[in-house]
Amino acid sequence: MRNFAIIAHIDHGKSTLADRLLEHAAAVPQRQMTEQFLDRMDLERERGITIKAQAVRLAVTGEDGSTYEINLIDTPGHVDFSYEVSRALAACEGVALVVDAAQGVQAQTVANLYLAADQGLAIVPVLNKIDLPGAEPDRVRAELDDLGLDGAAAVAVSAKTGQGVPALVEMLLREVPPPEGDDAAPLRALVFDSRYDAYLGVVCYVRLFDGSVGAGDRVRFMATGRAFEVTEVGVFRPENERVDRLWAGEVGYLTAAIKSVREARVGDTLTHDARPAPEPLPGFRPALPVVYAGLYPSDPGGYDDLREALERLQLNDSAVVYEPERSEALGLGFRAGFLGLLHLDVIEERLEREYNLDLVVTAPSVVYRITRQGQAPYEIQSPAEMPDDALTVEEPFVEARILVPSAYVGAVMELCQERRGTMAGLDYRGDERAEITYRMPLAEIVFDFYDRLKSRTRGYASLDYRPVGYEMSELVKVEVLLAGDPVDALSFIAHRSRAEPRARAVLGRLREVIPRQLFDVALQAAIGRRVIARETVKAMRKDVLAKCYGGDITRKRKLLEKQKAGKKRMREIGRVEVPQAAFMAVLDAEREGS
Amino acid sequence: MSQAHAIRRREPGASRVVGGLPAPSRPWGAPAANEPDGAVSLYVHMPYCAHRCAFCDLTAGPPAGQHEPLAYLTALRREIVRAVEEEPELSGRPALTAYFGGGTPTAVQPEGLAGVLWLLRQQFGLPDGAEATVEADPATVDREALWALHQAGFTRVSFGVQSLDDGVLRRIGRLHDADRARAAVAWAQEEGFGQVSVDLILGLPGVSPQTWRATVEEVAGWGIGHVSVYALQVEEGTAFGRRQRAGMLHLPPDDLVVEMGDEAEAILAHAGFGRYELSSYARPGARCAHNEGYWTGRAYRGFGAGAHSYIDGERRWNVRAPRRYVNTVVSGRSPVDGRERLEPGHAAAEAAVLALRRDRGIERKAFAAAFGRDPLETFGPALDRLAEAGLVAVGAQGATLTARGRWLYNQVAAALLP
Repeated sequence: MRNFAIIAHIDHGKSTLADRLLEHAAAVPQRQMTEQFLDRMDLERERGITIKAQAVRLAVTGEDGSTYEINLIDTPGHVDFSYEVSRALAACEGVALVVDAAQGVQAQTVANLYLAADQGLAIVPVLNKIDLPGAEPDRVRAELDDLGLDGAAAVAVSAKTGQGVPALVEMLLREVPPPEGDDAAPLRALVFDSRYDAYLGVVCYVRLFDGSVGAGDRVRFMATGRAFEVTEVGVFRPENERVDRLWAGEVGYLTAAIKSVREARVGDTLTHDARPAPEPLPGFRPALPVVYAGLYPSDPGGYDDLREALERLQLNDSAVVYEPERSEALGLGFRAGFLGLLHLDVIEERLEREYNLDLVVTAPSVVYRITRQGQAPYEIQSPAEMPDDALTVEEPFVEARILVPSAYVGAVMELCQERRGTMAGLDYRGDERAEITYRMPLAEIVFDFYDRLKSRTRGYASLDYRPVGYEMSELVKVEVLLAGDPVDALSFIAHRSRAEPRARAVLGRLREVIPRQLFDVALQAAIGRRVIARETVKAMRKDVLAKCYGGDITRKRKLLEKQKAGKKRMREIGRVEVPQAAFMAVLDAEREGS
Repeated sequence: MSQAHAIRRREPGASRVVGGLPAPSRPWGAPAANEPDGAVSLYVHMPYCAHRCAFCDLTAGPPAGQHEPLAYLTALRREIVRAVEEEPELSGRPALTAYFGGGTPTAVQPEGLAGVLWLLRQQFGLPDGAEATVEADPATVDREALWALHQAGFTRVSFGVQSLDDGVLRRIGRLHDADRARAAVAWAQEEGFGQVSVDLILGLPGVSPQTWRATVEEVAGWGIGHVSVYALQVEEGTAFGRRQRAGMLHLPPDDLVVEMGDEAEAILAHAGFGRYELSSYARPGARCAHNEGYWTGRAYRGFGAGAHSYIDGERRWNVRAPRRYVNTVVSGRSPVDGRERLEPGHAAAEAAVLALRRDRGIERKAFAAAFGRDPLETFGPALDRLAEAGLVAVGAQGATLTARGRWLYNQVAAALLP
């Protein structure tokens, strides 16, 4: 038995490699095989990215002639989902660290390597895409050496053609140790993920470290103390396949008529109710949301539907957190926390697609720490909450690590400087590549930094970052006023030195997205009472149906009715009709600017 | 007329604007004091064009083969004859006007059009001298054709001139130039058409305030009685629509279009043309009686592919594709492709929206007679808001659009429609 995960930088070919391993083990009949087989969500297939880690159990025959059960977990590569990776790693003894033989080591390669190394896992380096004309295996092997790995030992494969896959399997069987654990000891099973199934309730993905578990057993979650009777256990092939018992060292699933994700927290340890283990497994830190955004139903009557959808979605993605929020402009909704912008994007799209909702999403914000006279510091997740009389405002900082060809060091430094960064390190790796470390505000990095970085380095730079705590900053709340009335959902927090240009950019964007109305609409941005920028949406001049004869009457009436229905999707704030896009203006302005 | 109230049970579900009223049995605005009761207008659709213009979203194009127009004319004649035989709701109605539109009616031989007009006179008793309009493309008529059309009894010809700037005409894909338009209008006048109308399009790509002014001034000086000025609308599925989506369509900005439109109104007013409808200007006595029917609730019966009819509160329309139309009619089936009967609240709102296009606006008395309720009360809140925004003027006699309201007609319509 072997448990391992495939980890890599985004687009280095993890999911395709997983396909080849599945084929190698003949786990999926040829005619059912699709590309990126383990990416089950429509969204994953469309975007070609892995969002959720996916496990599968395979049987392979080694060169020694014996058959091995292996549990393979395919993991996401995007920085937003590194929490998924760290949970998957907790269920494994080793990893296949996949590196694109053309692109070489990238920031997420390093970040994921560190995650695996921190957990003491065996690491099998893999050079993928060696069939590409631009592949430079020797250079990349040297880069792996720099990371403290044995570059010469890295297995060269092509996930596209299948070349090298048998050798990789051998290497994994040899290098990844079999799980340890005592079948006879009290049960200790780590819940490393969960999923909601309409029929089964919550499905817990578990890794057993000690003991065994089967249907009919009464188990207890050690952190919550809640006990349930197990209804089914099984393994992933990759469809759920029921088994009698799961044993120490195995990865599988468990159902127990659990209705709420709050009762079955990811990271908790399951043990037998009657014969509990003395200590839970270490688990992992809960995912900390990085950005918060308001989620509102487009139609104010849709609040209950949205709440229900969020509850459901949280069962599938425990990294989403939310609480009710009330906006003067948008009514009842939720403030929700996300691991990053891609995560927000994915959740928004899943809510709209899987739950058929029409949402207004407000511009995301990081968490600020406020101190007021005579009060303990507290955190705010929304610009609207920022008081006028804060003594100090602190914002989260991160250490960003950027790997880039040496030629782009200047461009990266310039960008980081613009984003209020201070350099913390610059290391050259050989003649060609540099690792640049900057300390910078999270707010500067979260939104569009990565896109900007990519465009300034022709796509060569890769980025990883980790939080390093809060620091005081000169931050101000900029209020946006529509026709003289402040709109809470449009306000934003900015560094004082950048408040004016940002305000101008935001108003410029609002002027583009707010349709002309029957009257001039004044747009203003203000810090306190001081207006720092203004724009006007000029009144509509012309909207006329010129021809209207016998055949036009019905058609044009229907057109007008459709237009009218479209208008109903807008939010009316005061007398101004505001489309959904306006609430993302703050973010759009950021993306388009600089 | 006896069927007016007997057509269909009201669907359940209350109307949103006017509750429980019958469908209008009479026009809601009177175009002329002497219009007879139950009058009907006749429309004939000719779906052919020599080619398709860049702004046009009608299903019109060259006929599929040399014989298709002949087959089409045959089908038209059948539909006309059968309507008189089989549609009791038409019986006893005096026919008031005829209008041949398109497409380009003059893309078929004048004899063909003459034959259909003759049949309308026969079947519907359309009186001699009644307004009978034919639309014409300056590129496809010559003096002989105009002579023949006039001989056949057409009293009014409406030319799609669009612009007198050759650069603009080329850009929008017209087949004529300014000189050809000048000549066509002169021929029509010389061959005896007492009523000549010219269509212009406002806001075309490439137009400048100078060339626009020159166009309007020249047209106003031609001694014709009627001008239509249409603000360009870019429709999906047209060459302009595709160009716009590709970012390749450079239209004058709205502010400039409004300026040019206002200037056209002033030039035409100075030359004696009154703006009697949003897009229609006429010298005294030269209004288009046929078109006025559409905005006042007069019944109309349309023949041909895609033609619409409105009789006793029901609207219906024929299949759009010419060949399908021909096949359906020739094989003895009804070409009607869809019908709709608005529930009274919607019908009243639509009537109000159509009435506002005219200079007389919503005529309180006629409207109340048609719908059994005071329009100023029925639409009170919406009209108040529109008046506050400066789009309509409300008085004791009814409501009309203001100058600003005429530019924002769609906003007014959307506010009144349920």
